[in-house]
Amino acid sequence: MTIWHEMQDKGLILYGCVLQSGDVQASSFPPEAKKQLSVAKQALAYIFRSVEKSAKSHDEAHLEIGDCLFSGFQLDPNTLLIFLSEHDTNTLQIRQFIDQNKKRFLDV
Amino acid sequence: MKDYKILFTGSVCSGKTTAIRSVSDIETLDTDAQASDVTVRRKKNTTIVMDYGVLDLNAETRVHLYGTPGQERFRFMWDMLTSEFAHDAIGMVLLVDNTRKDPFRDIRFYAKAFGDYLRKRRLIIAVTHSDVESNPDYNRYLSELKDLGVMSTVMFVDARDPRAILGVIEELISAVERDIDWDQVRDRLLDTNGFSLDFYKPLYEETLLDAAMNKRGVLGAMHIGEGQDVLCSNIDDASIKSLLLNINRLTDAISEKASFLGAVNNVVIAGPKVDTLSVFNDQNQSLCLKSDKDISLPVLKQQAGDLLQWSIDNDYLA
Repeated sequence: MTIWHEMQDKGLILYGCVLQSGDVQASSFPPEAKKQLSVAKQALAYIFRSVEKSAKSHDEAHLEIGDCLFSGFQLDPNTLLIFLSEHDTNTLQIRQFIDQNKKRFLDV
Repeated sequence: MKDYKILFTGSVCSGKTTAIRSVSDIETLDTDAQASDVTVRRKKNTTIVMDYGVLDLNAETRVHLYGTPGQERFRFMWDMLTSEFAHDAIGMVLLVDNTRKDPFRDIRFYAKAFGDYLRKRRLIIAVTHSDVESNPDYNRYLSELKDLGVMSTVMFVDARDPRAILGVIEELISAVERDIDWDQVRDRLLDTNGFSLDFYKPLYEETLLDAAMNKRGVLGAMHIGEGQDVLCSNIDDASIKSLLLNINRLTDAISEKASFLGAVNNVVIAGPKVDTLSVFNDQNQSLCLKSDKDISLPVLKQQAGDLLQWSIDNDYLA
């Protein structure tokens, strides 16, 4: 079972993706969700760039758009996780899952 | 004895407690507590469990009146009321505060939240505070409800007036009880309960920022209007202010360029050792908050949504 399936089974996400220096390393986003992924990548990258400029150490961002929730987690300066979830998903549980599985994400 | 039940629901300050109190033949059971969140903007006390009152229509017929708490964080009480106490209610009365910035958003929200419950019973939309704000008017409600696909009777009422609330009850009960002398009940209620304007005195005295700062865990707030204008702010840290303004601009850009997704409702950025920063959008305005990292996001989101419902375009709060 992939880490994406595991998160889906727990009801945490619909799709997920790992970005390394802005490039997709692994993704469970289907082709029909390509547009959503593109919006999430650009928006979350912009947010983390802005965070970096302000010298703050926020490493987690959530955008609620319509019924979708895009979440971004900065694992390290080059690695960004992006998820698409239902808008009422418990983001704390996503955070906990990532904290417990950080190495797995970096190895994906 | 025939017993009927009616469930009253609606947003904070819509008049649920007042409505039940105005027609009850018993001392109503109020479970108020001092408001510790955004509701202080409108009143000092808020219902936290439920309201309960009883109205005798005649010697053989009685109506039990249940009121839900308005705040979504007491949702467990909504479930308890709909599945236990008022599971066999004849109908539901949704009280809608006409001074809210977008009363139809409340209707959409409650119609969805009580969707299953309403499949088997009638809904009456009772619009309150129309003496303060007359728009939207009756015709607008009918038109919007048609668009929303909500089947409901709309009545404009003063929750303090027992005659008005009795009219709502009559609308629900008269279909099944034809022998009630409604005029007699009305006269009796006026004699016993009267019509006092003192039941509810709104307190429109706090600014949006003050109300935001009264929320536990909120450390700073900024209110942004149309065109990215900062209307007011008490966030002193220039880098945080700049970050929030950047994020707010981003939400506008996304809403415009990725309109297929819908509008951006909110953006929250967090971290294990830093304050949470958030931007909540509502049509042409945004509320930015700096809050303690330990405050739960669902609570923060609901509080921000409620704050925005009573802001900017609401002249009574200016």
